[in-house]
Amino acid sequence: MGTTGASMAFAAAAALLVLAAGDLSAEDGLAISRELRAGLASSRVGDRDAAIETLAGDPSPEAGALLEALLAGNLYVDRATSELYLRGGDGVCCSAAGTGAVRGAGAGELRTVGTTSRQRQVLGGILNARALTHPDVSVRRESSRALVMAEGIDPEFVRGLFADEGDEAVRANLERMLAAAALRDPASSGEDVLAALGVFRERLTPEVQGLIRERAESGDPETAGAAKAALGRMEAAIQHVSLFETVFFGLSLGSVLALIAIGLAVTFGVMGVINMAHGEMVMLGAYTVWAFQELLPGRPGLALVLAVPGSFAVAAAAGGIIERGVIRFLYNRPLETLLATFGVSLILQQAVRTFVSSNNRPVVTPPFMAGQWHWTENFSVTWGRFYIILFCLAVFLMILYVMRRTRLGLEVRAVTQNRDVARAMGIDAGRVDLMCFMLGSGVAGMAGAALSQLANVGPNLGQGYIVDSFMVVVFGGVGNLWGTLAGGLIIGMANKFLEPVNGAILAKIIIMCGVILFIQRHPRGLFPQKGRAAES
Amino acid sequence: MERRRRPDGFAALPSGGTPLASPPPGPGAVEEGSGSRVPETAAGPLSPFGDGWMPKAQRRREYVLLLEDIRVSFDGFSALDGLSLYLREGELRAVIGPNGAGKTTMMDVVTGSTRPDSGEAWYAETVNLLEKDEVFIAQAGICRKFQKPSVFGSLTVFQNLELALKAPKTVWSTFRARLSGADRDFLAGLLELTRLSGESGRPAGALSHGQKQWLEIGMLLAQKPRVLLLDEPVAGMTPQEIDRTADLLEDLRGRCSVVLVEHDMEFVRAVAGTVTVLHQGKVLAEGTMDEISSDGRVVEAYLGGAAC
Amino acid sequence: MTGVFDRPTRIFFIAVALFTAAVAAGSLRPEGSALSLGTLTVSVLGKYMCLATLAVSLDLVWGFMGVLSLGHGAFFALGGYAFGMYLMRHIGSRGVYTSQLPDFMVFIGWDRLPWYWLGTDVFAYAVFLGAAAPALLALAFGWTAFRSRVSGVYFSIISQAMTYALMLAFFLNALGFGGNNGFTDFKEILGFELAARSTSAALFIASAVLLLAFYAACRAVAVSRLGLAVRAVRDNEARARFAGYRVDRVKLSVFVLSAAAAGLAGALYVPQAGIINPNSFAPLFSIEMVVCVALGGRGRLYGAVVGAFLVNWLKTALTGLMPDAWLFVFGLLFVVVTVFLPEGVAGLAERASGLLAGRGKGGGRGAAAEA
Repeated sequence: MGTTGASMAFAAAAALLVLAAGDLSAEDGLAISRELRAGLASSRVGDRDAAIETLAGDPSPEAGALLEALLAGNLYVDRATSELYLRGGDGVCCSAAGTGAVRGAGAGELRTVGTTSRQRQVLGGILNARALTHPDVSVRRESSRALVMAEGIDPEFVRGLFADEGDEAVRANLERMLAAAALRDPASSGEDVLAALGVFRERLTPEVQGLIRERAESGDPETAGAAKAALGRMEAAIQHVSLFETVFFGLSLGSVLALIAIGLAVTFGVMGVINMAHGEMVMLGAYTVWAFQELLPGRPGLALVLAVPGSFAVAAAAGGIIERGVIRFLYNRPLETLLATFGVSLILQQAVRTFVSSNNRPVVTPPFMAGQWHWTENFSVTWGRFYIILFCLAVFLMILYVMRRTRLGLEVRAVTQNRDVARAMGIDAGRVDLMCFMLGSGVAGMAGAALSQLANVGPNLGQGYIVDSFMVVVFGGVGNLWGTLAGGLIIGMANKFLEPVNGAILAKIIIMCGVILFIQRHPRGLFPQKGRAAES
Repeated sequence: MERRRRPDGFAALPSGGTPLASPPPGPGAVEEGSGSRVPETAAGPLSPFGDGWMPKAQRRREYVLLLEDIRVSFDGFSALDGLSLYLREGELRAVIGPNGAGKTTMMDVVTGSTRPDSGEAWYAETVNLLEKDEVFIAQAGICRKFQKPSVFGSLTVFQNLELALKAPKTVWSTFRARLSGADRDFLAGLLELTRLSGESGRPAGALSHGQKQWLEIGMLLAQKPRVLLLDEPVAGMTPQEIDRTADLLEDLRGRCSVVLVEHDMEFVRAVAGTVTVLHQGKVLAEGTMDEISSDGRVVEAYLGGAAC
Repeated sequence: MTGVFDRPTRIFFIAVALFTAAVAAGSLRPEGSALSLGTLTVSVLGKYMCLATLAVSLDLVWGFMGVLSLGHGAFFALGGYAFGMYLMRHIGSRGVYTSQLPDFMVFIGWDRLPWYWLGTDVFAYAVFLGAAAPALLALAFGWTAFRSRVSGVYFSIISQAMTYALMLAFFLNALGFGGNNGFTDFKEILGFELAARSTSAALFIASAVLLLAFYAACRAVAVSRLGLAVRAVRDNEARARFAGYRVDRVKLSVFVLSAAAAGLAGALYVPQAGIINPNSFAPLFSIEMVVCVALGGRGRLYGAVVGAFLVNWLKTALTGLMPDAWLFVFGLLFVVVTVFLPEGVAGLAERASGLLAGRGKGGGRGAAAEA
């Protein structure tokens, strides 16, 4: 997420400068003039570029609305009159000239004002910069965070903002923005550089490190020494922090993997069925979060909380349908089940692509998940990841309880060990299959809800994690919940430890080969299931 | 190369088939058809370290299969606890014992499926069973029938037998293998012996339970074994089939050593000369069925519950 | 016991030979005349032939041996890449950068070929590599898997992981296989223009010959005692072991044979498709082939060919008409075939002809015993 911010920030740089300059000319009472409208309506890219630049300098809300509409593709031109129209949320298009003229959406004579990808980048940056002055604190926090490392910002302008800002988080971001600018500027005084180094004591992102290193290498002798010393201190601290951070990221990834894998393990242990559509249960869970947020606009937090049981219900229902509709007919044919469920997974993915969208859906991170948790001076993590670890542990304990302490768990274990005997003792094995499958799918759905806060929610969400979670299941040993948890955490951790060294792809390959080799040495996994059931 | 010490096979055929090779002569070799029991066995194994016990090398020569002080434990549970068993060429030995006595584990050790924690296991004087794997041991002439009838369901009865036929079994030689006239006669004889001549072309999966048991025995005989391990061969058979199995075993006597694990006491009484009783992973008693059933410890451990 | 060429095999050989002759004749007729086939059509049919070979190789391990490989596409792709190297070398300096090096190497700043590209400009070596590289991979993978008795679903899953890992690896530029874009823009093979009609006809015939040759080899294995052993392994691995067969070696031999054939099919596929990229390693492609075999009816060899043609024809037709629908249809195909047609189309046809002929021949050929 940080990397997309970087390119955005770069585009925003120009915007901040322009905005600062525009502030001066704002007194001229620049309205959205006819020329400007004509420029936007023009079919030439250069004309539109110029118009965007002018608009960037206009602090009025009208200009903002226009820019937003342009970025979102909600700005239209009348083919005949070349007048601009803005489409509102209700689909009605209002004239941008303030004439009050209204056009229906989708009318043939309107065409969208197109944007190039560079323009969209610039627009994103401009809007971020404008958002720094937005009345809503959370908007300011978001945009200031995105702009911390932006190049070429005007320190004077930021200082002005800093003076007026009341919110601590925004102020901190602005301060870092200034410090970054000071480090970057070869002309800044030694004092400024030292102050800047002080600011960055706590924020040890690689970009900051790079800045300071540059300073240490090419700066004047006065500040180079201080920068070098700071760099040394930082590196020591960073090693500590990055270790903690890696462990923490590994834990959060691993706990989600374990959660996904538990569902797989339950169905495999009981029915000998590997459910290839399991990843799609995860996806459904994540989409449930999105759907709840759509239903409850403006209450993302509440929606997320409600979506947890919701995702369980949705995925469990889908799992139940799959079990009754397909798997039931394939009892005792595990390889065929594997194929059939793969088919189901294709259908589910395509259904989402066709009936929802093939693009990623935006899932909002509610404020209580987004906040930082400062553990030590140098080490802070988002609450979101912390909650996800807790959530996964809680779900794990719940499953453990269900399996060990309830009647259902007893029946499940009975069926796992000997289906025929269990049936002879009056256990309805078909019902146990169904319950198990629903339970496994439901848990996967909840994992999806958790994942919606970590990853992009799209039709391929499940695919990305399913191979990993298979690895977890076979690595941990089928039918052993603790093994699955341990397997998940180990693989998650290994992933995060190898990633910085080898890159994400190579890390995945290494882990996969490692697991394959491990399975070949220990075919029953880390914690093999005991007893005769495992022999067949 | 692996089969360089392959013991001579023999044909279990009443008629036709390959000529029999006589078992290697040794001191105390069993006289052919010398009645239903082997006299020395009862005394020997029970007092292995007592007076007059023969030296190790001689023991190996004496017995075709020799297990000494075998210990196997699973997760702290001791399945075999110092088991010793001595089997002569051509002897039929019944092994009985309550569930969990270690009968199946003993077979696992002999066939190389389970490695014991300690002890020795020798076959045909020179083969150290603890160093060999299942395939080598099977090719060397120790053939095992499983408790559950296990045949190749999608192959025909004839194909099942053909596959089991004693022959070089590397991938390439299996690919090149053709049935000779003698092989065909041999297999036809086996079909007759197992009364499956009429089913020769049927898939083995379609046979009745008893017929599958017979087919499996036929497959073992096709391997021309020197030692046969039979795990409950008559389970699930009708009384007539049991009688016929008894006849077959009678037929094998003196030509191939048999270890018979069985719960059916009547059957054991009918076929076996010497009976070994296992209890809690070791030999509790050894002798004729009559001696065994009058042994108080045995009655207490096993017969008391099962024979009444 | 019938020989290698039993009745279905004879029918199959005659059908393929007639079809090949017809296509070859059509492709050599002057363009625009009746019954003339364009290079595009011929290439598509040639690709189907290669995919059919891949399907047969998969049927050999799945249908006969009961080992479901979800990574067979990896062998196909590896063979394709091996031969793709030959094709890339023979672009010569006609690439964008007019360098003797493949374009992508110039692009990532390499100034010489890495060692594993050595000799790939020799046709015979490239063909050899097309079979040897996948065979070697199968040997290494199968050796470890079969020796430690990884079987059933476990094997399927790790074979899928294998192809997935390879896909990720081939996406890396640093591997020297063109990263994302793979190999494309081929110009010639053995000095013949790839775009020429005669070349595409020749490639098509070569594909058909490969299919028939491999088919005959599979039949030879199937009717030998080794074939019995392979099916015995499928039915009851433990029994096969106690009957004196080295199950791991039987499996490994068949697996390697199958992989080599899949690799050759891939090698022939690439010049006809004109491109090879890491997506050939995608698990979905491998699973697609599994569905071909299942739909055709496994354990029959010709069933796999029928399935491969059916599925790929359906795919070509549907992706052209309504791209969205393909995955729906494909997914449904999985479910329907496994639930309602476990014996596949061939099984259905056999049953129908059996009913017509009025002989209820009890045969459990197709059903793999998994328990």
